[in-house]
Amino acid sequence: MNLQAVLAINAIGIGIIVFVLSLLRRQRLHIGYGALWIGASVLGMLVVSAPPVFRLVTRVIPTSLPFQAVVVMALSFIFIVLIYFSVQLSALLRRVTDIAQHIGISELEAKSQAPERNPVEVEKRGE
Amino acid sequence: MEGPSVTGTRGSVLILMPAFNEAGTIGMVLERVRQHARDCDVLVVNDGSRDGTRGAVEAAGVAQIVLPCNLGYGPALQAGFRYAEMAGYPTVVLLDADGQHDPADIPRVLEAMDRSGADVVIGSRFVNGGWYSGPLPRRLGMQFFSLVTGLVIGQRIFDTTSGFKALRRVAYRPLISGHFLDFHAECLVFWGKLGLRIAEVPIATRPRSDGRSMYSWFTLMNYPFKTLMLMMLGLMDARRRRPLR
Repeated sequence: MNLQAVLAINAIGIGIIVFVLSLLRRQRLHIGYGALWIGASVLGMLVVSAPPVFRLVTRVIPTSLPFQAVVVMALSFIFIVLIYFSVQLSALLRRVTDIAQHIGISELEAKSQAPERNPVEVEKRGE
Repeated sequence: MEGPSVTGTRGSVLILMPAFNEAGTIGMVLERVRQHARDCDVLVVNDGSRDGTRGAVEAAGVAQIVLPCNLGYGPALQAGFRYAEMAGYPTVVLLDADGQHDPADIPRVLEAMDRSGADVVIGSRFVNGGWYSGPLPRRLGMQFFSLVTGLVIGQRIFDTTSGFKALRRVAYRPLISGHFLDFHAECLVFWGKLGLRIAEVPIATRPRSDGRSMYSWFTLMNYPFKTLMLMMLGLMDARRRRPLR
């Protein structure tokens, strides 16, 4: 991989790290997800900057051009992260649903122990 | 929690009405329910409405579960099922709050349940050759799911998308958790594979007079795909469970 490409990838990596750090500082990103993106950026920079590591990657991911191995690696990472976040979102949705249902039922229970009887019927029976 | 408040001779029936922004119609529907289902308890699941639905239900003197945010039709019904299960209701009747269903049909649906011994009775728009005048893609979708459901469970269900149903405990209890969209074809396949008995009785419907349908163009496009996926999941889930009948 030529020097310009290595520099460009490193510049993008440093940009992502700075952006993620600013999100973490403003508490807009959970520390676990911040670590994930910073770790991935550092790994990507390491792969393209260290020739022995880069050669190893191109051997593991056989492509016609070495640069394509980096693209395949990046796309695979993004795909895995998307699946991971979909699972996380589903779990959160399930929790929100459970909590909302629990709040609704608890409020009803607190108000009365059972649903109101039909007022017409209650009136008719003189209760 | 106390047991169900039994007010009639049929046993305890809970009429469950999910409602989202139905302030314009729900008062009238609850009034009609009072007239025609005197022996039944009524519970509205207010699905995070932002209009006057809560006040309208309170004014009608009917109990409601108020969800703090809009969860959607399925999770709102699941909250109702959860409550019904906790309170021990043997039968639950699902009714839309938008006034499209006539509460005068509730006794007929419950009678059909008693008479046939079915676990699920669907208030059907089509069982006696009824006609739905909605858009063509929707009508085709209904036909398609009726056909697929029939092939899978071996029983033709004419109205797979009806929101008017009576369910015995054996039918609503498994729905409290799990993947269900609107409790339509995916549920029928699930019930059918669990060995539950399903019957249909004709009901009258009228067009919605107020409020907005829960189906946007986007959800309508998504609906067939999601429902087919859920039917497959329902089949797998039913296979894991022991038949209930």
